[in-house]
Amino acid sequence: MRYLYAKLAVRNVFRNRRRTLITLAAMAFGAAAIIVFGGFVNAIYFGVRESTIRSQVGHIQLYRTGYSEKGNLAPFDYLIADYPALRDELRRLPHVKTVTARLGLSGLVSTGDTTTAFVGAGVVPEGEVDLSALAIVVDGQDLTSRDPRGVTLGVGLARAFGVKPGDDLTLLTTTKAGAINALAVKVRGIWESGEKAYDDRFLRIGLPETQRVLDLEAGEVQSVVLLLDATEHTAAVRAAIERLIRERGLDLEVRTWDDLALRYHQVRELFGRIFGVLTLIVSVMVVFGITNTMTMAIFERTREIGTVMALGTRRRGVIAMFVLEGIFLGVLGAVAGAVLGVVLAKAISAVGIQLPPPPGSTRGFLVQIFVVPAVLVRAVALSVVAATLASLYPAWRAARLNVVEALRHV
Amino acid sequence: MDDCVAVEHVSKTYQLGKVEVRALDDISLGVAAGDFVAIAGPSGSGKTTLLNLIGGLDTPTSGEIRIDGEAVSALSAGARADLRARKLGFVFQTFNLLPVLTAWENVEYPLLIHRRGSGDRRARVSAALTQVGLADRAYHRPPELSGGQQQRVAIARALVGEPKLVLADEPTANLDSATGRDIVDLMRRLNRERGVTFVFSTHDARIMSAADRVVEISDGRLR
Repeated sequence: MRYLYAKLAVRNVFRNRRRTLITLAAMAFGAAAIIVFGGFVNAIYFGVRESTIRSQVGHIQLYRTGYSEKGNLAPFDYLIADYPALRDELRRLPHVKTVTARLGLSGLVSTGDTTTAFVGAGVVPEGEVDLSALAIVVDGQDLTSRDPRGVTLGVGLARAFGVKPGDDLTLLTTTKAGAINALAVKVRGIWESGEKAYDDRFLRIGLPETQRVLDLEAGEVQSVVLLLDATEHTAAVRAAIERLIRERGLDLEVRTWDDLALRYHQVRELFGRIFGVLTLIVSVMVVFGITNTMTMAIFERTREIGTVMALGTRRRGVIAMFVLEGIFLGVLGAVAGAVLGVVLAKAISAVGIQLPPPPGSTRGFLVQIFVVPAVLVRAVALSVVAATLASLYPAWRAARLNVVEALRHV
Repeated sequence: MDDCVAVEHVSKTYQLGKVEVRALDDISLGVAAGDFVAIAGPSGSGKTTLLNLIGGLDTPTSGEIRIDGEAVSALSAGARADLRARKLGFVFQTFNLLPVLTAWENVEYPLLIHRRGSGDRRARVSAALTQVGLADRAYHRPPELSGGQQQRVAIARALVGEPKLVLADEPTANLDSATGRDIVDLMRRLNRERGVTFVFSTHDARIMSAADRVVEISDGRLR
């Protein structure tokens, strides 16, 4: 019986080929839109995640316990005392690629004529190589341990001062004890991150010089930053570090990129909602398309419905016939949409479309579209479910037809 | 009484806008098992309404109809569908085959409703198509068959489930007279060979002459 209804459904779907093709095309474009946009959104998530990790945050950061909460107000109260020993321990953990340390400082920077506020980081130059993916040196050279007095500036800060590599600057800052201290430095390079707020204010300087100007011990740092071989290993490495902290009784707290990458979460939230709206629009489109097709099919086949009812088919049999037809249309549309979506995703990624810079950035980017299994499943499931739901009402109406009137229908 | 069909004081009125139309007016009629009965009358006389009521496609406004002893009007729509599947066969003026199914599949349809096994179905469909002389057209779809051939398939479909009664509403009206004659001869032969009761409507005098009995109806009343 079910076999009969399925056979009828399949053959009836192909009865009015043009109409079926138009309906399928609409469904396929809807499903493909979900796949392409979902793939685009996922590529953006990935891009923002990796660029955040590789441009500053790293995969994991360690601080003295309490730093995350109160470190802003009293940075010198939450220093890690013996960085070299900790570094050696961390380097022994699996999946850890780079371990480096940072020390924040802020104050005034002056050319002699002009003075402005800056925010800076004392860094280990060699340790930052893999963490500066987006801070590209556009003029001069990057920091190196061989040039302890060198600094690199964000392009906005350099432009505001009109300085170039080789120029001298003076940094004024406050030591641990609260005294004013000055440091003469030389501009070694100018970099651009694409992040305007960062490029306009930020400078980098070697860690030993930073410790000296802040009047700190040589092993004292604010944060230890780890880069792993792959983002997927973050949770495992975090667990290993927490085990190490417990075993050694270390006074440290651990944060991962997931805790620190605020912007990543904002982007996910925003695009997640846009994606939700798109999904809703496509669902509505599919529901209307199928309802329309099924309603027309039922009108055209009224006498056939009367006939099968006269032959003793019960109402639920008529419902089954039309719902199966809807499901079959849904499956066809979903498969066509999945194929179209994957082809479009690959094609758009291959062609390489350049998009303008997003808000807060100065750099445009190439459109990348991932083929994400979860998005494919979502698009396919949505098409099938929407088509099934959309066929329920027309099927119910067909089953409610009066047999005598249906048989008389021309 | 072992009447196959018993129609007892049946009336049927329709509401057409504000006007009440009396399609059938106090009709009583018995059809014995094995009968070959023609219901004759001009169009609009109530022939189709009477056949629809006997076939359980519609319910009378008053009166009672029994098929093989079973009261039809008391049954729910679903129970009437089951009764049709078990005891009745239908032949329509416009053949009403399902165009997406082959002749074989159209004939098989009632057996699928009966949930017969596939071996049983194969034997019965084959026998029914042979009886109507269309064994060689089994895999053609209705649009590839002539009107007469389509009506033969419809007769095979009506008979395949071995019903007590076959109802045929103007089965020859859409056929030329020679083909119509063939169809009536076929029905007559099946009636004789298999003892199936036939009740059919017609307004063609030549077709009526083949019947055991002609029931004339006009303006909703028997004459």
